[in-house]
Amino acid sequence: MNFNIDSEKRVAEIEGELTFTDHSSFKQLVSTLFEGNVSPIVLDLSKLEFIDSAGLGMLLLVRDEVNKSAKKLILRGPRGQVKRMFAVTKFETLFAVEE
Amino acid sequence: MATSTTDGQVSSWDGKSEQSLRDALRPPTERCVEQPLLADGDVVPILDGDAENLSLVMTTNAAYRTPVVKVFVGAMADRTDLSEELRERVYTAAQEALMNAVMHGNLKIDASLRDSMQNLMIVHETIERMLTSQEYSALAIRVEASWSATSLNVTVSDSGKGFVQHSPSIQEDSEKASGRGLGILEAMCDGFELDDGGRTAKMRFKR
Repeated sequence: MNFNIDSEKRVAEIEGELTFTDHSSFKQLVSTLFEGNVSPIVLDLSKLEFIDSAGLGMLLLVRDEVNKSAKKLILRGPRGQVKRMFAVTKFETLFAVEE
Repeated sequence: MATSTTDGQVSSWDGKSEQSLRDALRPPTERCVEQPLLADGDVVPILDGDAENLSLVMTTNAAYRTPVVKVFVGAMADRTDLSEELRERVYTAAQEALMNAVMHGNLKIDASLRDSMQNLMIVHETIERMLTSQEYSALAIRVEASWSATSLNVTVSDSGKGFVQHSPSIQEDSEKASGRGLGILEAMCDGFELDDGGRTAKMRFKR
């Protein structure tokens, strides 16, 4: 998994695959996102090609962190396998998901 | 480099990178074994001689540090036609099975511990510590695939002690950060079962 953060708009673009081996890089992403007091936090998933159940779990952990700080989280642009995993796991009912 | 044997084309993998795995699985390889495991004849899988097949035996360390399922499914697609839809289902299901094999089978880590960002890092540090130990890092994981005109089978086996099948529905666990793996496996496969006391995940797909 790779990520790029637009520091002004607070949009994090996640690329590649988000899987059970990405704990450390994902934590780094979240820490960077929470440095400022900006809401909503947007995770742009349009370049994320693959996600497994551990990756889905990590997105839920971000949601929990966001809820603690009264911020808002938006998942933007899931496509392909990621979008289908959201459907299979009913993830779209747990997040604000933008096309 | 692939080596010809009477049992089919066997290659060895150095366990170091995605690219070296891609090279080791290039046709005409039928069986690929990571180098540290080559000396152990027991780990070389015995496959159905009548079916077209591909197998990979690797250490837990390599399975954790390399996108093995992505490369393995790509190698399958080099050998047999896979529709985009089928390729995605096989990749998604086999990834879940491999994660189970690494995390629960060989490393014996409880996925439910990843219930907060702080605990996620504790789990990460635990995995890294365990993988410095030969006792865990060298444990074998096998991925095997066979296919015909009408079906495709993939199995993932670990070297752990097995576990009792627990198959929570996706709805029941919808708010938790873990517990979706088996539900995803069942959704992606046309047939799924755990065998050998939970050590082997068998996935079947129609084509």
